[in-house]
Amino acid sequence: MVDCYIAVRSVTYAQKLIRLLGTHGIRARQTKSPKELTGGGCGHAVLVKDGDPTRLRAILDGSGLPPFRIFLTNDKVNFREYLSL
Amino acid sequence: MIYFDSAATSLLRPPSVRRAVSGSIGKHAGYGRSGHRAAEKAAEAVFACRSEAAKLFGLVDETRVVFCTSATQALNTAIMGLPLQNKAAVISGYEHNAVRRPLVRRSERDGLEIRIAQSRLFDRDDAVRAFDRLLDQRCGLCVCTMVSNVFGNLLPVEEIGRMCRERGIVFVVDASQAAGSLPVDAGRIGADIICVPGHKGLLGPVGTGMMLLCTDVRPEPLLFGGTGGESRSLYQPETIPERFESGTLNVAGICGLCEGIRYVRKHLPKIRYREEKLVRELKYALQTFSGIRVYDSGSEPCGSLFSFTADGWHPEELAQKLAERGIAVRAGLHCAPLAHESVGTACEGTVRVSLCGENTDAEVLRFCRTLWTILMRK
Repeated sequence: MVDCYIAVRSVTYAQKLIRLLGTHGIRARQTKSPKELTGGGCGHAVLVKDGDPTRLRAILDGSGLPPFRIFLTNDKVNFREYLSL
Repeated sequence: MIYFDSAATSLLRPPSVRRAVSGSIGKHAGYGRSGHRAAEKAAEAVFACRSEAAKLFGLVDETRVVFCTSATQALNTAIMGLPLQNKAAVISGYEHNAVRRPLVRRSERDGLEIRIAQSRLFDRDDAVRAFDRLLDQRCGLCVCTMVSNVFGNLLPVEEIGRMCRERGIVFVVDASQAAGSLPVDAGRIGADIICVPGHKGLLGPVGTGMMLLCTDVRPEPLLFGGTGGESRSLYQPETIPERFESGTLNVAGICGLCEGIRYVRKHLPKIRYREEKLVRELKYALQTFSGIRVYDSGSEPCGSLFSFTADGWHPEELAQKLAERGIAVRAGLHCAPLAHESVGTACEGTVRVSLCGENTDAEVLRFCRTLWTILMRK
């Protein structure tokens, strides 16, 4: 399990995703995007601690919402994008 | 005080609204900007209001609820932001200045032709015919109020919406006097944009309002600035609702609005029943007074307000006499001179009585007695 950051376009979408994940029993919270992901700009993300990226991707892809990128980290320093197989 | 001026703003709000506003202060901060817990709570609270509003107005997607400071700001965003150069816009003969003034500005700046679909008061069929005649290929926009803020007449927005959809015309609805009193369903109305204030029938605080983006029509924003994301870009984000929400939102107000909407969702049939009953009883009573003219709908359904005039009395003078005796109404042109021009009351205006679900039979009785006393003393 790794920490999963779902990059979102806005605070509103962050809240939408949190509620969506909540309906699937997944706890998530809103956070500012780590600078490693934004290049120093401003962004928002939804953090799922110890998350299952495969399951998250399935939920997001089946939601009808615009596509979201998922980034994984074990140490909050090094991030890699989760790409579905 | 007897408050019969709810069309201006609500005074009698549920206690939960006040608690929500005061509870937000000291709890919510940095909405959409910061990453701390206060900002997270603010985001949760704001989204909760979007969600309640979406449910009330029949929208599936909460992102289509754009917070504004008022219905006026929402209407201005829609009217000033749509591509209308050298086009025509059709409005009813009962529109508020929040509709008419931005259209006049577009007329002077962009050559917009303003067409007024004049119709008899309380005659919905006449209104449908009037709009039908004017909604042609040159029209880029149709704006119509659901309920006149002066006379309380209901405009046939569903029929107008159908005509606009058939003819490819953008349809904007002003639901200022309907939201919180009547069902306002985006799907049934068929509007592209619906504009509502938060502080009238929705029982929220002043400084709140919403623009509901019911279809994919997107005007240009009215405000440009910080939205809390994509800061390196010099342009407004494409994402809604943030595209239209530059600057810091009135989070405390939105919290209050959320409670107001929750109350309305729970009690709308009761609110509607009480308002209809009280308006009907009051109009009936006033019509027995000699020298009083009540602008009445007869058997036609109407909103929670109506206007009257009294022989020998300037409306402002009469309203002042009522105010001195603890009764709040509004007099004059009500920021809607077009409505008065349509009915023939533009010279002095009218006295407007606007009720809410918290008004009582006892208040109606006291109003009648007080008015009678004032009239008899002259």
